[in-house]
Amino acid sequence: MMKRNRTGASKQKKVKFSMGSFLAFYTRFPIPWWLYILSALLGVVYTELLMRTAAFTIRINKGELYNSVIIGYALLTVLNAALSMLQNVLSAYGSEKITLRARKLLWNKILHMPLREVERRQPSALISGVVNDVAEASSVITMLSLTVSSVYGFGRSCLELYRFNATLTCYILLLIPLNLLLFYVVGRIQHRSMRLRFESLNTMTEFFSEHISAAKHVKAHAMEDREVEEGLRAINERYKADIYYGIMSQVQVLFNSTCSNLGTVVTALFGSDMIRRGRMPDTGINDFSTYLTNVERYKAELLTHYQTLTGTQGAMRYVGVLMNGPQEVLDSGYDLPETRETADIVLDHVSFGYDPEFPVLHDLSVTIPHGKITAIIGNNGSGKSTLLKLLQGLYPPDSGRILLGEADIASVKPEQLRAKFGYILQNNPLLSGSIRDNITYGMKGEVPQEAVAAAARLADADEFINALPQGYDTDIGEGGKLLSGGQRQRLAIARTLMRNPDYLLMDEAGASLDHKSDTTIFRNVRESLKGRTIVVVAHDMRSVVDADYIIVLNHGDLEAAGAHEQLLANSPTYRGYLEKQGYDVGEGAQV
Amino acid sequence: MRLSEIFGNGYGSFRRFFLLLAKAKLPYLWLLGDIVASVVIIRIGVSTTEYSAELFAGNVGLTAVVLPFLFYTLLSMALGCVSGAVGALCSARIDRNLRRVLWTKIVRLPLSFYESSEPKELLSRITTDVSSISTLIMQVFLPILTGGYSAFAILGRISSYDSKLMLSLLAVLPVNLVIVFIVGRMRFGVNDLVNRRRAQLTGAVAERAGSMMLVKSTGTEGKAFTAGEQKMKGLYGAAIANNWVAQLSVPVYAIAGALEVIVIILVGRGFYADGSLSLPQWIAYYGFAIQLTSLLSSYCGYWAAFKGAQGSTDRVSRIMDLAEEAAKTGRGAENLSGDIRLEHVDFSFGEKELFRDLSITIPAGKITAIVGPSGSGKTTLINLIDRLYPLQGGSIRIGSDDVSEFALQSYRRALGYVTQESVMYAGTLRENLLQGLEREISEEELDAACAAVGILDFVRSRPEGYDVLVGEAGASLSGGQRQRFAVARALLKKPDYLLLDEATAAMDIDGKAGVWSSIRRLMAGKTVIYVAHDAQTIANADYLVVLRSGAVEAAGSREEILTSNTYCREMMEKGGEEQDDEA
Repeated sequence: MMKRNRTGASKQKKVKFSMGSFLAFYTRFPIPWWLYILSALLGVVYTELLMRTAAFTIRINKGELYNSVIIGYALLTVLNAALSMLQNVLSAYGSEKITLRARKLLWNKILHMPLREVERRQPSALISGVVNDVAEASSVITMLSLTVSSVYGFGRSCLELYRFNATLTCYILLLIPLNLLLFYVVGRIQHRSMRLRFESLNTMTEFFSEHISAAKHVKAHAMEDREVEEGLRAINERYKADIYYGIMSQVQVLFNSTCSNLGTVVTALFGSDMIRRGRMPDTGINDFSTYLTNVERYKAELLTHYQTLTGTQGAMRYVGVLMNGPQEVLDSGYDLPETRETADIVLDHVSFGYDPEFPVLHDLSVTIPHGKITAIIGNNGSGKSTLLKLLQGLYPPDSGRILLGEADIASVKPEQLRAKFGYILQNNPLLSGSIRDNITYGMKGEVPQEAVAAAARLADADEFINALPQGYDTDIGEGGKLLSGGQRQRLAIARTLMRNPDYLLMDEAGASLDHKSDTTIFRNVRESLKGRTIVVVAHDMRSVVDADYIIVLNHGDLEAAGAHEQLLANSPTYRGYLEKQGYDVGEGAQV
Repeated sequence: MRLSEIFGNGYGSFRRFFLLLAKAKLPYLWLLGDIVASVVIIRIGVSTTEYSAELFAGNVGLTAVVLPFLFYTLLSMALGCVSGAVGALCSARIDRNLRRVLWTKIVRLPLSFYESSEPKELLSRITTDVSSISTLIMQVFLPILTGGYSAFAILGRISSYDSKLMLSLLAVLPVNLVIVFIVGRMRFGVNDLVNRRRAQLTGAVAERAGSMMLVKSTGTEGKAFTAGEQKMKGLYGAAIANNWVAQLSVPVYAIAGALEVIVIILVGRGFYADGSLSLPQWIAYYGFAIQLTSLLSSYCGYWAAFKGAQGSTDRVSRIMDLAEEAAKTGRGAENLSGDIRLEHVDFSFGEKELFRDLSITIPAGKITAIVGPSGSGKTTLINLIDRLYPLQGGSIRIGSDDVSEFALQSYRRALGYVTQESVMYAGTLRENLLQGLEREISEEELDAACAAVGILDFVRSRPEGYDVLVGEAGASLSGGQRQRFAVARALLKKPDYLLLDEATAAMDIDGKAGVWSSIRRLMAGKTVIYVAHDAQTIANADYLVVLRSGAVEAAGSREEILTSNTYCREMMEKGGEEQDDEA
């Protein structure tokens, strides 16, 4: 199998996570302590009842089958069950409340992370953070409360054991250090084999997800034999990890059962000896074993709590990393005037890079004039789309300033800044819901039907919407999957126009439309947004030559800016583009 | 009528399931070993219970009771580990064998199969569904066998004390089962609700986490938060309800358990009182009876587990039932030559008819562009030429040969096809470029291919050169770079017929120009067919085919079509060649 690039994954793991921030997480939302305290108290009562039950079990095993014993045993069992139910219900309420609160907190945090932070992570990791990982938050608190009652139970049952036979109890307690050692070893083994297994599962999943989505490519090149072979190799890797895991878990089982069997061995050997010497009643092993069962039970409980805690660490670490990440405060900064914006956008020595070593824009100074159509052109990777994101404050520049007239966008309220912009990409996400929900997405209050229809008309979408049996109330499915690509794009454009932005940014917005639709929409947009600022990124020179102002980027530098005629004279890239798309750029050519 | 349908289906799915197991070649010997080990452990368990009863009753002879007790206890522990290891081995082998047959099958299924199923779904066939089948075998089928034997052994032992005791115990046990079953049903329903609510939450979060750019640029963080919060509260409600049901079942089980103990004691008490049971026998009987009830209640769980796994087994076995493509029947497709002619081709996706009686000739030795509005069938046409879908009528010929006579594998290898997705696999660049090639490629040839698509500089700029890792699905490369490598890969293949589906769409203007001039140079005299919708790309064609709603609107040399066809003229307006004419 091919080597996989793991650097991305390991980089994320290295993010530091301290105990302090782990605990700080629990101070950010109220914890229903009273539920947990009550639950711990019930646990104590439960232990007391369990001790009483043990006495009845012993009597039954001695053949004392009186009605009172049977009834007493049955009643205690049922009462115990009821108590444990109450205890669990209380802690379940507690943990569900914690989960809900922690989940809301995390979701809010994720939504307010800067875009760069979001993009750096896999969406699937964020999703599982909110859905799965955060549910572990409550287990820490639950364990705390359970530990209280388990410690009590352990002490109480040891005492009972000791009361029955001190010597034998001492022998048993001597085993505890050995128990702990074995437990530690088991923990190490488990950790390692779980990790290996998890990694092998991941590798296999990655392999198959990559190869299944490449089905067409595989078929087109008739590479089935090779695919089968590689798949079998991936399956075999997983098999090896499974075998290793299986053997390791048996070693674990061996250690664990050694622990519990040691107690049995000690009881049988020394207990029988004591009975023979008359230091314990004949049926003493019966009594002792029954009490010992309780001791073992609480010991196991304590160890399980510890294991659960270490298990949650991994999940909570990721939640912690997310919670500690930077956050945007949408309403901090100066207010922008509510009136229609009439200022130029000025970039003043702006630099920006995703990776500090490879800056995308360097020291870029250019003005996007107000009220005009500005086109930005350049090759792949020249920083066109990045520039649009910088304008809306989605990315902060590494250095330099971006000004709306006099106001530095870094110091105005992000929510007000972004509300001034409309942003259309080549592929825009839609959300599940009706067509109307999507067009009015982000609008405050009710929007009259006429306004919705007007936006749809501008985006050349009214025709297909009206042809649908349910019109604007049609449900478009998850991500709009019930619509075609072109229809989705037209809805996204309508959604942007609905917001009536002061500045409209279009990044290859027409690339997925057929030419006719593209032309119609572009004409409508220009008419309806007359006098506002429109910035267009395009590879099709037809949309470019009509612009009032053209900016040519070349590897993150400004090559030239100006109107068509100026650029014909001084931008080789611009002239090259026109030539390659069949324009005549000879002397005095008019386009 | 209905009933017979249900049984018919049930029969069908069982038949498929067992066929699947037969094909997967279960590790029968290991399974047998596991069963034998379990039987021995059960036998030892019976003895251990009796010895411990003796100990409880105060018979503490060292050699008569204590040592044998310890011996059996430790033996059972050791055997338990061995049996556990064998069990783990069995389930790993079952997983591996099932995955092998399943993957081999899936790879050989026709393209339409992939298009009708979600990739994520397919993935879980191989990962989770397979595991749930092995779990079913190891944790349901085998325990049913061994549990049955265990019950048999225990009952046999009790009947050796007194056969009437055994019979009366057998008579009262089923009461317990009914209670366990009812509670189990209740829990199932609520659990389902929790799962559904969780899926809703995942959906809501996923949709927004995946479109964070939209949320941020429209400043709708608050709205997104509320949408998520609502689902979180929904899940909270379901989880609480689930907890209540789960917890309420605790006392119900306890009552059932208490009743059971009373019954067991009442049954045994008479025998103990009249002396037909000794004290050790009584203790052993009591221990056995408790073991029996837990055995029987686990049988109730098996049914639920079986129902739960049915979905998985059904999905996997259904895939195994599908027909594969015949990759190797037919003659080899060497030295293809001549025009490609589609003659009276019919094709539809399910109900939706796309082509009806479509006839086109694509001239050999030329570059032909297929153009038309979206949904007109351009990509499908190329797919049909590559035989990715079977025709529903008519034929496709290359020269005088009907292409359906060629062996599928050999035919597809003879054509070069660059798909829209420009697929890359995790691994090195070299592995990706050489993928699917049957001949040796020299370093110079690699360089030449990369230079042709204008990406040699990029390769040179990496210290690892061709050994640079490209990440999962080529994630470390941009869309334009992936497309260039995909074209380079096709050129390395040196096909006589090259199919390109929007293969340069993500490249910038300079990139497109460079790649197309290379294609013209390297494919001179050979046949190139491509789908495109931008003016710059279309300008490279010698011949144009205009499709509209599955029919040929126009076909002919580029000059001719560009002047005569409205769709093309509009498309090329201001960007096309007429500009030159006017200027």
